[in-house]
Amino acid sequence: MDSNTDSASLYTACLQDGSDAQIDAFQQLWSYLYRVTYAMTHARPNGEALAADCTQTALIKIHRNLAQCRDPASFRAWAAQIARRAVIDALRQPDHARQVPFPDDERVQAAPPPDDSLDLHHMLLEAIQHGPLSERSRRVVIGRFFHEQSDEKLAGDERSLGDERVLPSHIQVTRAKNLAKLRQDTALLDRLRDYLAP
Amino acid sequence: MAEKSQREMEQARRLAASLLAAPDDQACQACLDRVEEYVAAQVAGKPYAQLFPDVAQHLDACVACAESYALLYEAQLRAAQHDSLPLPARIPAPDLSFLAPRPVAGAALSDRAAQLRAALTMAVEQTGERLRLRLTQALLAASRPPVAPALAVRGNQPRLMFDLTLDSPHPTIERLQLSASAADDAAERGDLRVQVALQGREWPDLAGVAITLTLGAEQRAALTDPWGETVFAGVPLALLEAALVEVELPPAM
Repeated sequence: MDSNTDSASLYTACLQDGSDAQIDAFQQLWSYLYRVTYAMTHARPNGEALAADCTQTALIKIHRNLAQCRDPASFRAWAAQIARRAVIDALRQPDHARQVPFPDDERVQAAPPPDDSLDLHHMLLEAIQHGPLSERSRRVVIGRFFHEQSDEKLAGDERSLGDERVLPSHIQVTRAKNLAKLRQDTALLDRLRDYLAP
Repeated sequence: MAEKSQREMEQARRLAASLLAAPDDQACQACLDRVEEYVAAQVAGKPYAQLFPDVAQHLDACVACAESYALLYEAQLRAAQHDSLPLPARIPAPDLSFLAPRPVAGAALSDRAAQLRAALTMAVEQTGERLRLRLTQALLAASRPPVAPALAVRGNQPRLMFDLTLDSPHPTIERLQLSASAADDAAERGDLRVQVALQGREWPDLAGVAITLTLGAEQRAALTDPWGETVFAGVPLALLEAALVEVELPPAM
């Protein structure tokens, strides 16, 4: 079976228990999926071993669940999705902390207590402006929530400020991390609960 | 002016809701089950945050999921832009020992199949909203693989004790699979894997089916994952021959 076997033929071969065609098909699938997982893990320590582990996990799941592929013509895409999920699940384990840093922000001082006299909108703006966030973080949080800008727009703005590396995904992670920082302010959260209480 | 104020308050409420969100494991799994579609829409230039608002909100509330999303997005973006993907210098060989051995021809196979059918008939019943499968010595003996293929997992190679598949045991269940594996033949405990395939549903919509395992006086309960699978770890193997597996039947579609 050559490497250009179409998805439907590959799927059919994978179903043929005990045949040489099945072995060939899974060999081919392995080669394809290893490239998929390697592309996601190559920058990590032991990236090759991690790619091999995740591909093996994916291969077994695919073998066990072949009947769940409803569209054999999309079998490769279905298998690739399973392999990518195997990588994501593996990297969420505690022993795989993120190694490749995002263009990120530095720590600043803690926020002052929330001002009870402000309405919700102004209170949140104050918390962001004076909270433990960098300038970029403030732009990212305010840009999304108060100017309703997409992450594509926000990434473009950051690139125009001189940082060529910024992607929309970086914006999302930066925002998630900085909302997590704001969540550490229990006084702020208490005030928010009071505002949102029915 | 009033319209502007109302809009500002809506924006503020949305941010407040994100700050107050307390994501749990279930919310993370629900997000991860849809994040591929979310990324596909984003890479295709569609209004992804509007198409998948729950995913967008969860990614703001959960750093771990945001990082998972970023990994996926960057991989898909490179592929979509036909950038040169990082290629491995070499591709290692897979472990394909999990593939089934060649079928055994002749009378031995038909005898085993007949024994299995008879044992299954005795073992399965529906009680109210549950499907009950009582494991017996006869059933397990008929389900033991003739040559046990090793499950290729990280590290050790567990030994497969039995592998049982029931096709359409109930109108709402397409397939029920049970298998048990142990570190070796001398092990006293092993893992029992139960996988349920539901009619009309597929990965990742197979989560949440309640499975109960009764082993002597001990009872364990678990919910299936998006694959429809749950694993009961550390099960005393000697009790498997009288174990009861109950599957909560989903409502008919």
